[in-house]
Amino acid sequence: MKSLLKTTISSSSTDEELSEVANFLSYFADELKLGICPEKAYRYALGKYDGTLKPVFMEGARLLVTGAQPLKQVLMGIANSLNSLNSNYFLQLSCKFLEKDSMEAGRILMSMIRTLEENSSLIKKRSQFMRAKNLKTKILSLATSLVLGYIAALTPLFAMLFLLRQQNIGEITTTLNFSPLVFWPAIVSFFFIGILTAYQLTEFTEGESSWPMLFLSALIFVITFLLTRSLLAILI
Amino acid sequence: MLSNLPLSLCKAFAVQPFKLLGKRFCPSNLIKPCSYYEDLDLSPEEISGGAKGFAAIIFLITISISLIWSLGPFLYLSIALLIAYITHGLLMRVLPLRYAHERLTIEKYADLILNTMLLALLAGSTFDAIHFVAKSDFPQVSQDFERILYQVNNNESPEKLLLDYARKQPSTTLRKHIATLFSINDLDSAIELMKESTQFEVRNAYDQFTIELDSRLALSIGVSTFMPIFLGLFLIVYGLANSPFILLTVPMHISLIRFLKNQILSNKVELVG
Repeated sequence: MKSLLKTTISSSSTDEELSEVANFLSYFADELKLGICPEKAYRYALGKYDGTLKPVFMEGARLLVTGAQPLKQVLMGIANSLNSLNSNYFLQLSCKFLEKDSMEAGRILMSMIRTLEENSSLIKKRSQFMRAKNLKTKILSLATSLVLGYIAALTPLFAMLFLLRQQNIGEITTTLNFSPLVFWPAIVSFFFIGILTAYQLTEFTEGESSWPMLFLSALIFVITFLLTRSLLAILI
Repeated sequence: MLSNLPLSLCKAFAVQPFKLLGKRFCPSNLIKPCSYYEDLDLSPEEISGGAKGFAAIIFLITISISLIWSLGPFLYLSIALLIAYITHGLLMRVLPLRYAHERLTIEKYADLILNTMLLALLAGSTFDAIHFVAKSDFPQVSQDFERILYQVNNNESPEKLLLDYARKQPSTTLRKHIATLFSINDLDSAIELMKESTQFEVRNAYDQFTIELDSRLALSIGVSTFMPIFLGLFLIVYGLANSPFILLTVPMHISLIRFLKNQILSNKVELVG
């Protein structure tokens, strides 16, 4: 149950499996409402349903007919074979409903499915919003490593300001003929800040950190760093 | 056990003068959580007074430490006040936060729970309804219903127990609807009733967070992208470019991003769907 209660936005992506299960159950509930017995209703619903979980439910129907298993056991088996905890949960619940009164179970299932649909429209609204912000996040995080690469290359110039403040003119000329080795702590930390920011910021909108962004930002950092350094060498 | 530590601290420090102070300045958001968690045996006055007492002790400790280090009087007074204030605030928030979290967890499954109970009630008795929910693995509620089952087996009236449970319930949906469930005869009106308001509260909270997300995202992304640039420039100009200390900014920045993600972008409300 614990993974149902994740508190980050990562879990706000729509649950595809649950919507498939709800889709099947809505056909099932339709048949049940007509007063058909649950086993028959299952087969009719299977005839109407045509989604990605069809093979799973087909296997269930096979067990129902040839394996002579009761419907409750079949539904429980399907519930346990599903990955999403929510759909597992929902199937088990409907299974329990069937124990009581199949006709009324059909009507209550219908109302629950309607609630699920309303919820999923809200969830979809949020994930659409997140997708819209995704591009912005990526551009900004790549821009950060670009600017950081630029600053890393210009570190000697900025460090010069410090020496000027201390009126340490003698050292300034030696600073300008710099090798990156002198300022390695600053450059290394800029590099890691740049790539890790890009790596982690995608988690804000996509829900998981992405390795391609890490490599892309590393590439951008290195290119900007080298370009700015060579420009600096030409100018000075 | 460890999660109850702040509360036992409050209980321990709720001595007489602070208890009076706590009674005088007792915030209203403590009353409901205190009556809900009755097994903790804490009154709002005790929490409020205990938090003040513990904050006073922290204040004294901080002042004595600062005296040993001989900082300036203004500095140590303000640091000690700040630390005492934060401690007080944290202690006061423990129980209301736990209550709010539990409320949202129950609220998420409220309509499933009510539908389950409705079906069981239409086909059977109140005992069936309690048994059905208790065996259904709903977070928190199923455990509570297990306890009610136990009490029913000890010869108490299930209706009365359920109504008592509903009265103390943190989730408004359950509180409102458990009582009406008993007066329902036909299914159609029941389903209509459920549809009206079951998920109203949790949906509202979810939708509100979606609307807030825009500004929350802008803030988090802004801080995490511009912060390293300004900080880096500042440190270089202050002559830290070739000192290994600047490497410490990397873990600092990463923890800043984690903090923003967990505090500003974390979604407290979940929907099943």
